[in-house]
Amino acid sequence: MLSYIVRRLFLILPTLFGVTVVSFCIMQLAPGDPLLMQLGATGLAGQGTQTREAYLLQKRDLKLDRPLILNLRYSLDHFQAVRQAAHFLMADESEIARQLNLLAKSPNDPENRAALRFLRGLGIPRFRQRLADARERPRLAKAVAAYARVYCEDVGVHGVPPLIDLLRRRDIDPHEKIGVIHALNAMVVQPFVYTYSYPPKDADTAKVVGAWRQWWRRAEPLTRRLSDERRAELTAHFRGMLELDRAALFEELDYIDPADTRFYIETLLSSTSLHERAVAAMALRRLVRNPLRLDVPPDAPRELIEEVADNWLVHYDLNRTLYEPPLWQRCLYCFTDTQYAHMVWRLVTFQFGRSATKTREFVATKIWNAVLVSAPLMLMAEVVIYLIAIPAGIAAAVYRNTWIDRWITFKLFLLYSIPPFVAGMLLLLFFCYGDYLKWFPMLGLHSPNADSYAWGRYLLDYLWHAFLPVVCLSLFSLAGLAMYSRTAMLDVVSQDYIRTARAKGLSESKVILKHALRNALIPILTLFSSFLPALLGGSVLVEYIFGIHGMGRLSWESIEQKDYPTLMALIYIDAIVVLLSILLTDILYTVVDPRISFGTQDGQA
Amino acid sequence: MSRRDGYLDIVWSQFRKNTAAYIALWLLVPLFCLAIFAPALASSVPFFYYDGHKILWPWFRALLNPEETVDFWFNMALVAFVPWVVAGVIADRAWRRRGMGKWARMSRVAALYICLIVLASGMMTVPGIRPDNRYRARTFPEEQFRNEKNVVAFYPPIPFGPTEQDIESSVKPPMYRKPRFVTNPEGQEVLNWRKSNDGFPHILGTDDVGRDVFVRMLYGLRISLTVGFVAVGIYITIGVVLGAIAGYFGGAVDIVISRVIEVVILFPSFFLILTLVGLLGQSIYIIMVVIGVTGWPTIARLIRGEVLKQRAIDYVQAARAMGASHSRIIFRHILPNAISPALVAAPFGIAGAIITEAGLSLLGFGVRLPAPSWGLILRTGSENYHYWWLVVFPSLAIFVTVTVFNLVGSGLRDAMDPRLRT
Amino acid sequence: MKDEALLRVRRLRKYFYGPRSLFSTERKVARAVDGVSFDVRKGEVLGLVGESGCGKTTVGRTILRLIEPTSGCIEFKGRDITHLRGSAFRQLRREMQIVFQDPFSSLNPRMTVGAAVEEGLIIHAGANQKRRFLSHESNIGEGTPGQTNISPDHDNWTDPEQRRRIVTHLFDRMHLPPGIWDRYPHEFSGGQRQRICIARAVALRPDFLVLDEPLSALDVSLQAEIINLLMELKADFNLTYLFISHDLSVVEYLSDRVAVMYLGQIVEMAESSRLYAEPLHPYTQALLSAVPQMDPTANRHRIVLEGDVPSPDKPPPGCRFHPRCPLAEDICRRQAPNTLDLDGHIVKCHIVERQRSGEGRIVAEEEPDHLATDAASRRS
Repeated sequence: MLSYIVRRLFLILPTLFGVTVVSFCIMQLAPGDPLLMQLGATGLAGQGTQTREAYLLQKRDLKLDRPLILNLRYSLDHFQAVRQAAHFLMADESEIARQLNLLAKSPNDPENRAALRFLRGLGIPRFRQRLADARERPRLAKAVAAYARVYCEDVGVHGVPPLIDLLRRRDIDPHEKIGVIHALNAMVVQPFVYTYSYPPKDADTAKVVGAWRQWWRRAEPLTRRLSDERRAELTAHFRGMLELDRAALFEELDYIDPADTRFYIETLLSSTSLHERAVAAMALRRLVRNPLRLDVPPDAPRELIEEVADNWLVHYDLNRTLYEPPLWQRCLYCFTDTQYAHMVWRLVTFQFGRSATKTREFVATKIWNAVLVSAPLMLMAEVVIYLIAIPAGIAAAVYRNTWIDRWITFKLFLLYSIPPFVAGMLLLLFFCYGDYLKWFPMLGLHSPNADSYAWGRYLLDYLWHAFLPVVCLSLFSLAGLAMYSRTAMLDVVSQDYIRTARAKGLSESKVILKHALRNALIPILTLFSSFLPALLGGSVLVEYIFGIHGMGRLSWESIEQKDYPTLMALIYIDAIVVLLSILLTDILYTVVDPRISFGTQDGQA
Repeated sequence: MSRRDGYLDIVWSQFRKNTAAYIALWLLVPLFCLAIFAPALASSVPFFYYDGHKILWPWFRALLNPEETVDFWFNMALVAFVPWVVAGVIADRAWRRRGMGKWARMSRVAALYICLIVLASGMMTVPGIRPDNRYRARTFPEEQFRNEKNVVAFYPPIPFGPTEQDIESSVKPPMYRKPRFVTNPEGQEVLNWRKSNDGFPHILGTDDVGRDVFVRMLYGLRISLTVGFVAVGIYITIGVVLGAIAGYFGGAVDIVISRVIEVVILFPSFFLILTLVGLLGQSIYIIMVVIGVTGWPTIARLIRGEVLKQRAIDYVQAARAMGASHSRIIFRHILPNAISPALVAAPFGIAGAIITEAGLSLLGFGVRLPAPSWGLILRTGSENYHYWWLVVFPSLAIFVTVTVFNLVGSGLRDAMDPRLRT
Repeated sequence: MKDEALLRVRRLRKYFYGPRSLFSTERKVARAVDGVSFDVRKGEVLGLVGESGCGKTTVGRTILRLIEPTSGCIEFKGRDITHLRGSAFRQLRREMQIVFQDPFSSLNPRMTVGAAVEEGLIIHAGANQKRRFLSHESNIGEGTPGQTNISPDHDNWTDPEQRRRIVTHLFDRMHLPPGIWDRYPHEFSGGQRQRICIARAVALRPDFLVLDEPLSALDVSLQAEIINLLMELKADFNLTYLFISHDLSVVEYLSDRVAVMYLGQIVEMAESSRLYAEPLHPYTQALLSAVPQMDPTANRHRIVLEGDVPSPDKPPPGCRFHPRCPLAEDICRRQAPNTLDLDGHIVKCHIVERQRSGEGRIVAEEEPDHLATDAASRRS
């Protein structure tokens, strides 16, 4: 028994794997970039830097820049491509256009060939035709600039090491270095961290201190020295700051003096206490607006270029583990650093993120609110179904082939042929619209001012609203369950032990209730597996018709609004719930029916 | 029961005992005839039109050039109908003389129809054979009928097309007839009938842009039946093949297929269909394929269980001992004995697919306007319940069709249920 | 010719493996057939008897490779067929056929009986065609005309008319009513169905026929008819039978030699007359004493075995029969008996071995056999 349950649980694993694969496939079927839609951006061009950066950050956060299922980027050589990208990023559009002319003229030149291969790999639509057409080239140049930038963004960390190599070289001209720096800016978002995350972690120290040390190297000669008494004063003040809580500390930081920068940087660089370093870093961040320069204008002087390049080299040194992971990590990343792996991780840990609609609600909250609406409705419907269907089915079986049986079967059959949404529309038409009867409200589950009602009235109001939806939800499954219980009962009634019980002289009611019913309920139990999913799933069509904002309506809306995070969460949760209820039913089955053993009977291995 | 009865005879004699199912089976005949003969019943163009000089045949040209592909197949069925009846009767007689069984003859005659339809469609795709729809843009104005005495037009009984709009008579109740004259702002009476079919009543009213509801329902029947049969055909094929393979070969194949079945069953089907249609785009073909792709696991499960049961029986061992190949054992020995659950599931599946299509269209994810669909009429009706005919009639149509298929299904189930046989 | 072994089975084993337990690597192993060796000579009938569950049906099906053997070797016409594949295997299917116990389940209910019998001819039509051409010249003048005209070498199985003729003729031969081609199995009685099954098996002109308890589902009156039919067919078609049964008197009547099986092993095998006259193994003695006899006054000593047949997944150590053996001694519990060959009378018992010490020779069971495969390496 226990071994059966454990084995059953093990069998869930491949199924779960299948569920994630299906969810992933469905998401990949979705046309368009969900993130772009999410940000409300229209396309590549016309995005402000701010939106662009937010987009990139979010894309990296959701790991959508990774390959789908197999990440081989760590073992590929990006040098040539990245160099070309840097080359195209440095130039402005007119220059790119000039180069395109050159490329079109002599495509077989070895240098041009490399450039052409890179450009073709970018996936610009109709690249060949547009390159051939001289009038198209200026516009093509624009596209090349945009796509080269996107390429850098997509390559991400993998493009950084070759670029750093280029920066280290003495022999390349400053002009090309500008391109490299542009490319680095496209690849790396927020290269330096200047403050600790909250709560501070020792792991950040190297990066934070490294960044500030780099800044200090250049800033030290320009910074005012401090007198000893000022230093003592500041030390005392700093001690006081250490005692403050976070909010008070923020307030206190507003009053520190830029003239005292030297004190804070020295504290940061020399202190051994994590807390002191964290506070000092926060103070410095307040005082220094723009510590390390990372970008250069196209016409920058040589010194500026060297300074920025130096900053990038420091960045690379500080993040060496990120750029040059050890071999075992590279191998691991092949499978774990992919869109699929990250999605599985998010699903397994139930991090569904935020919805893609304007409101940006948490998906979990959204789903929970919808469940709160539809679960009571479905619960009522299920109770109605079980209360009516099982007695009806059993009655039909007991009075088999009499008019009772025929009447019940006929009614059930009619019910079985009315789809719930058809029933709902007809009910609305006849009982709500008012051309005929106006007994029930048209839409929603509460009257507009229901919040002001006393609880008794509130409940009645709710039941009044819920009556028709519950009727619709019950109709269809009611027929199915009743027919099923009729068959189950018929099977039992024709068994020998029932005949024996009768022969023993038991009363008919005792035979039915004590002997037959118990055994007939066992197959009915299997239908329990549909109970929980129905409870959570709601019904799309009925909720649509009655204007109820439950789970069904939510799924419909999320499809209509292309709200992929919500959609994926819904699909996944539905599948998990079904899986669990099937499991539960199986286990219940073993508990209830002692005859069932779950060893495989098939001896032939 | 005579001693020479085959399995089908037994099923048939059992089936006939169920009166309701028997009637329902015969109701399928008018249902299909309505779908096939829809253009003959309702079309916006006349069969022939004599404009005083020559005779035009606009109906035939329209028949061979429908806008929807579904309509094309059904129109081909209409074209092939008469040749089929003739050829079928002749062939049936010949086969009977050669002593062929009833069921073999019936299936061959049915196959003949399909061949003829395919033949006709093939011919129509050859350039030069299919006449172009030269009168597509032509109207047949009422003016002409009134003024010229020798103009003759012969319309189908209901002279409206499924997509023919008339804003002036939008959302009119059943039996509405456009008034012949209206008073214009200047106070003069002017002729209101523009086209020569304007004077006919709309039996079941009109929808929001003045399309005739009855005609749309008639053409909607074609779409419903197509969705039902094709989708169920797809999933029964997939289900039977995969289920048979899983059950027969067992082992690793069985484990893999069973896992896949379990995974697909986990996703609530309507939601899954809705999602896929929402993401892949709306079209009747996508709906059919999606229903087909999501529906197979139940069938596969049934067939797998049945094949497992049959595989252990000695006749399969006998076939193996005789040296029969795997495919021969599966398709000739096991499947004929194991397929009845799939056959029983088919009519219920068709009913379910019709419901699903209507539901999708009601939500706005189904077939696209202006294609006629029962769900789309319901969608218009759900916007304002005052137009009751937009709700009641499609509901009735869905109910009747679904009932017919369910009745056939339950009759088949009872007839094939071994527990009821002696 | 009489002594030539048509079929040679050596140390045949078939283990059925239960499901793997979750917490240990051990699996339940049912040793349905555990080291069975015997020969079937051309033209003879070998009876295989034993209680139900002793593995005799498994032996029959394993020989036809309807069940793959766990280990051991099966030789047919001097050729190892244990791992045969492809077209050679299909050819073998024609040469060996089987008749099953239950005539109700061994015919496909959705197939007319004509189609069922004809099917084998269709499957082997191509191969038969080839064979006709190859053997045409050598066969001229041979065969006995008038006896039968079903001869694989003279009929063209690719021709539907000829196939129909062959099958109809066979039905006649089986004393089945005429015009039954288009009937379904459920229209026939058990005896008729069994005849159809035999016709299906014989239609392919096999050389060897496994009869897997073909009579046990039939009435006694029908049994006699079927037995006579089988004997006629054997003579007509030069057949060799492996006759599996639990009915000792039928076996005595039909068989030239008899093998007795107990718990997956052959415990005794001898010429039919010799075995019935002088059973050596205590198990055989017990079985024979339980056979009802015509003469109620005959003085006989009935040996009643106690207990049930042990489960094949936990066979007792030592001699498998010792828990139920009335003569069991200490050695029987400790040590498995040797196979003793007493001039063609093979027996596997410690007691007999001691009583007849010096006579016969001991067949070494574990002699290295290049054809045998290691059970453990094949099944893991």
